[in-house]
Amino acid sequence: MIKFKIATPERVLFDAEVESLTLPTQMGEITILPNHIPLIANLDHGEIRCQVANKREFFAVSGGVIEVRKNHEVVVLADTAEFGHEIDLKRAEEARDRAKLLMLEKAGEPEAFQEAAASFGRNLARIKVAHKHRTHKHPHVES
Amino acid sequence: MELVSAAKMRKAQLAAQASRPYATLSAELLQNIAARTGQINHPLMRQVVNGKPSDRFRALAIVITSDKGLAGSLNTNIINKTIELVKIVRNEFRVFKSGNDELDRVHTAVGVTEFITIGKKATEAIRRFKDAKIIATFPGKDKVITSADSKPIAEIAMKEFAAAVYEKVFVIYPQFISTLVQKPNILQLLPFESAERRGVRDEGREFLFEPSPGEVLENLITRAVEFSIYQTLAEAAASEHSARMVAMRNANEAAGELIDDLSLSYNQARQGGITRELSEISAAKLAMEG
Repeated sequence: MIKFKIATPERVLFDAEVESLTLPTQMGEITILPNHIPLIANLDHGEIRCQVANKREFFAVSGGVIEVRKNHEVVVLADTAEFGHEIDLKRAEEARDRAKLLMLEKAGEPEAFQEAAASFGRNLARIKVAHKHRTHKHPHVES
Repeated sequence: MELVSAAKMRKAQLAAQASRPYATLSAELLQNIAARTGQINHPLMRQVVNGKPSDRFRALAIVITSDKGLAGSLNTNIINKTIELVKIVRNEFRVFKSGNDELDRVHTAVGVTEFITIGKKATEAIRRFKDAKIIATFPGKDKVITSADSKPIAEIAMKEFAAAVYEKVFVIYPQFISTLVQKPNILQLLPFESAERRGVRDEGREFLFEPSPGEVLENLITRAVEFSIYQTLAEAAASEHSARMVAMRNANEAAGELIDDLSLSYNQARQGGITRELSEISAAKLAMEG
C-alpha cells in the first residue's frame, strides 16, 4: 500500500492508503506502485487516478510538484485539485470554450496564447474527470 | 457588526490554518532537495549585488493592510512597522557594502525602499511618506484567498528581483496569532530562504528528478514564493476580521456603559424634578390651608 496525500494551499484534499496511482507529469503519465524509487517530478495539469480496493478515485489537478518518498509515501503539492463530484461540468465547459476562443484571438502573442492554452488544457482535464465521475457513479447509464 | 465580523473571522481563521499542511510539506520537500543535491543554487535564492558604485541599495516592501478601517490598531501597527523597515533599509546600506573600504567611502547614498501596497489603508498612508514610490497597488483581500489573488503579486516581486531592480523583497503583514493577538511581522520574501535545515535525511543516492533537478527546483521555488504571499494574505485576512470583531465588541461594551451612565443621570434628573414638583405642591397646599 502507498500512503498518498494531495495538498493544495487551500486544503488537504486526500490523505489515505492506495494500491496504485497514476499521475500526469511534464514528461508524460506515470504510474506509481509500492517500492517505487524516490522521485521528484513536476506535475502537469490533468487527472490523477488511484486504485483503492476495487474502487477508483479521480482528481483533476493543475500543475504542482510530486514527491515519491522511500517509505511508500507519495505527496502531491498541487496548485488546485478537485474531486470529480466537485466539478461543475457546465461551467467547466464554458471555461473551456472561452479559453478556446482566447487561443484563437491571441495566436500572435506567445505569452497570452500560452496562458489560454494552459487554461484550455486544465479545463479539458476537469471535464474528463467530471465525466468519469458520472459514469462511475451510474455505470448503467451508458450501456 | 460584531456578529458579521465573527462569522467572517471564523471562515478566515479556518482558511489560514488549512494552508499549514501545505506549508510543512513544501518546506520538507525543499529540505529534501537540498539534502540530495548538496546545495541549492537558484537565482531567487541569491543576493544580487548591483556592481555599479553609484547604485543605491534598493528594497521592495509589500505592505498588506485592509481596505476598511474599524479594526482597532491593526493597520496603524502595520504602518509603524513599515516605517521601522524603511529606517532599517536606510542603515542596511552600510552593513551591506562594508566588505570593501574603498566603496564605503565612495558611497554617500542611502538605501531606499519602494512599495507595493495591498489595501486602501496602506496606499493612503504610504502616499504621505516622503518621496515614497509605489510601484503597484492591489485592492484589499478580505474574502477567502485563492492563488489567483497571490499570483500577480508574487510575479511582480520575482520579476523585479530577477532583474536586479531590488536586492531584497519584504512582506509586512499582520501575523495571526489568536483572536486577541495579531503581531505586525516582516517576512523576507526574496532572496528566498528555505526553513532551517534540520537533520539531513540520508535516503541514498538513487534518486530521480524529472525533467531535471534544475527545472524541478525552478518549479518548486516559484511555487514556494507564490505560496508565501498566499499565506501572508490569508493571515492578514484572519487578522483583519479578528481585530474588527474585538474592536466592535469593545465598542459595544463602551456604548453599553455609556448608556448605563446616561440612563442613571436621566433617571436622577427626572426623579429630582418629580420630588421638587411634589414638594412645591404640598408647600402650596399647606400655605392655602394655613
